[in-house]
Amino acid sequence: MTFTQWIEATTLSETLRSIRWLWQWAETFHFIGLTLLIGFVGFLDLRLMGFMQGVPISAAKKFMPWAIFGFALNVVTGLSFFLTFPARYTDNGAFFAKMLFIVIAGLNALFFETRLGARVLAIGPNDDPPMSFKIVGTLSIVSWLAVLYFGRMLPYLWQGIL
Amino acid sequence: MAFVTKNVALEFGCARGVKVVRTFKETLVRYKLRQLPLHLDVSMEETQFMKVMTWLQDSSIAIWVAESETIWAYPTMLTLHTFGLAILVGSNAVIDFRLLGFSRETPIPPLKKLFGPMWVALAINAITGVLLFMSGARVKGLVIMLYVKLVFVALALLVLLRIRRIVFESETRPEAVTSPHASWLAALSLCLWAAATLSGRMMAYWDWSFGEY
Repeated sequence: MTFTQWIEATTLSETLRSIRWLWQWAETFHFIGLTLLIGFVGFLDLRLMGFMQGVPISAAKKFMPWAIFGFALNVVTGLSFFLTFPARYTDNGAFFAKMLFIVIAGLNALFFETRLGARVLAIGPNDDPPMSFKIVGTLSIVSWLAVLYFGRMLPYLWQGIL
Repeated sequence: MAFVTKNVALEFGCARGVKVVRTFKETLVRYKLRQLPLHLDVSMEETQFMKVMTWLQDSSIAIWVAESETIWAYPTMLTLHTFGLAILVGSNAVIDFRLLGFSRETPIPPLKKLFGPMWVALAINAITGVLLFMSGARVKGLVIMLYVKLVFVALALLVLLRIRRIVFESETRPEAVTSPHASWLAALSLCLWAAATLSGRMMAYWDWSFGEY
């Protein structure tokens, strides 16, 4: 029995499959979650890249709980997709590309918090951020847009890799 | 005929959405098969609306979007439409949340710069939306959720213009920015975009239809 088959056989997976309205509502909230995530993270990223001057970086960061809320919404709904039909994802290259970019975006955010976080307050609302900030901001927005890209293209890209 | 149409819809679980899970396309094919004898009874003639839809769907660009083997056609149009959604609604959400009182440290006037990307995103979604519609116009032209979605999008854009007017073009009245009026508009804006997103997604699931195709 493969890992995928084992998941499919669990009671949880069977229950999720039996709830007919679940998939469409999970998709809707997955879209709402991605909108919040891209909107609020993108806003901070733009500021880190040197756009949106006049906004202190610390102020843009105050929206991050809502980005995390959007991400959490997508983890929950995303897990419901995976547990309902695991074979659709474990057999799909775009799914792994998406997961890879989530990891890259996460590590990038962690690097920003732990290594650059202390310098945020030293940068004025109208200052052009240092190059390290611009790189982190660019990497962040590119990674999250890649997550969106591979997620939406999932049914069309690199199916049947197993 | 209306009576029979309603029964068919109920039988497929469209109105209740619980009984049967079937892809939209499958349902449409079955629905079409059921409808065929009714058409024969009434008339074989197509309405003017359906003739226009056929003309749209048979245009070379629509055929390319619908049938091209490359991922640059239908899949890319869908993906661009989602990018546009994230940028337009995501940026609008930043403005709305600020007006609702989150991150008060964020000064409001610089948020006006978000309108540039938002208008670009709106243009992308208008273009990709029209192309996606054309690729299956005979079916999509009758999908009720599409029109529900368009109404919500139109209302959300009107609210956005209103916010732009009272919040970003009122240098003389800075108090307007934090007025309860602005917060109500922001809350309304979020609700309308959520409703538009919901009805857009449900185009694929709630196959309430104007009927005859």
